[in-house]
Amino acid sequence: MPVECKRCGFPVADEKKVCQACGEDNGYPNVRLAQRPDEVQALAKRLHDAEVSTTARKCRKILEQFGLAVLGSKAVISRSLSVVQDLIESDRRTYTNFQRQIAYGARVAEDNQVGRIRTQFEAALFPNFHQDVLFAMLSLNNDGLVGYGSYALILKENMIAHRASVFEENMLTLSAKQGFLLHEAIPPGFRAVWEERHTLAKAKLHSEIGPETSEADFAAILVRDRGGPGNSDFIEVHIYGPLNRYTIERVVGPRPRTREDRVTWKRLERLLSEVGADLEAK
Amino acid sequence: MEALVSGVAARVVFIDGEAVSYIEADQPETRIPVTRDAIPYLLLDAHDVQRLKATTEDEAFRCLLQKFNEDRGLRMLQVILDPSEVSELRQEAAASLNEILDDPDVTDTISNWAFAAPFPYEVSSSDITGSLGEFPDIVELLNTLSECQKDIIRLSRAWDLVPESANQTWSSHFLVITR
Repeated sequence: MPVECKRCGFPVADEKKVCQACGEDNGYPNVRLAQRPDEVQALAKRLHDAEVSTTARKCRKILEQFGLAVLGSKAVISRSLSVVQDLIESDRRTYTNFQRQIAYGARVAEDNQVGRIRTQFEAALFPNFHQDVLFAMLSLNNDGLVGYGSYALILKENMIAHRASVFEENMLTLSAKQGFLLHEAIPPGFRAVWEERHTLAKAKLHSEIGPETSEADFAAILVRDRGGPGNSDFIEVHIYGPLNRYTIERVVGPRPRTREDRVTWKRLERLLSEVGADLEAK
Repeated sequence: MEALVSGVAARVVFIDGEAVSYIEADQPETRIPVTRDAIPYLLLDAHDVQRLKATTEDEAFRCLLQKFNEDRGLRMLQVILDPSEVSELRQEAAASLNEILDDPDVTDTISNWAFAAPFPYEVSSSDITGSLGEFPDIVELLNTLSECQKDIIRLSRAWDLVPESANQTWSSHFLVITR
């Protein structure tokens, strides 16, 4: 469903950011997808169901508090200390996604089931522009998923909000739950623009909230880290375009235990401060 | 059993049929079980993943230690070479690298990498080695690298000029270089 170019009025293909007729920037394709009326209406219906359910269970106020908390959530990418260092070492380092790494020959697809179908489900999420999207996750306490790496890159909201959308959960898990195949259109109501991440979180997680839920529980409701990425649950953040060290607000992780990594830690402290970011031990 | 090992990620992933788990290099006592779906995500963005087929835990750990030392050794070398780094940290890095260079296999790999790329910073050999008197192996390595910088730059530029189309396999790359 192409949109009309805001300048010339001719159709702009779903996967294009720029009008191919007049060159006008028409916004990020992932954000436009999340703004489609069918997506917005389906998510509003899910939110309504969440509100009815929590009202019946006498915890509607807590759902609203949870939503307010999620409005302050951050986009986080977890990696190993060395990968974090490689990104922060220089302005010339750009963080690229799996698809671009494959295209440039910087890596090969993993020889396993998920590796083989990864392109398939990423293409289903972002038809014809999956090579332009980076994956992060929403977090309320700056914790990432340890399985992806012990060090969490917290991204600056003002560097990503305009080009980010959020998605219910891992696409494979969702397709298994909802019973749709990867060559079919994804049912609407499972994505939202960044500013509506609280709406998606409330729609998705209302059943985890009860009268006894306190604010201290919110972070663990939003992200369930069970050690490995395959069995953890979180809301994905999809960011259109690249990022580099200036996109990073903070790096959070454990103080290293090896001598070499303690040297790297001290170096990171300096490099991050040079770009106005922090290093925080957790 | 199969293992995926990365020094960059400092992690080894064990795959034994349906049973998958991983261990961090700095916490060898803790094994974390995961599902098979997790495998692609456990070594994200690590460029040095090695796959060991029909291996044992001991062999996988030996491989992890070697790859960890190779990666961290190069990182320590980078800290030593960076003229904007504080001298105390360069000394710490030199002490770490000195220990790593005790293993001749690791030394070979680090040397190979170091000779394959020009210094990332404008440095003079005397400036770097002046404060490293207690680490003669490192001083020797740095002096040799300094002496060879012109050749290293020339050869790495020639390598970079090899067209992408010829870069499909190592053998085709080799053919272009030797033509």
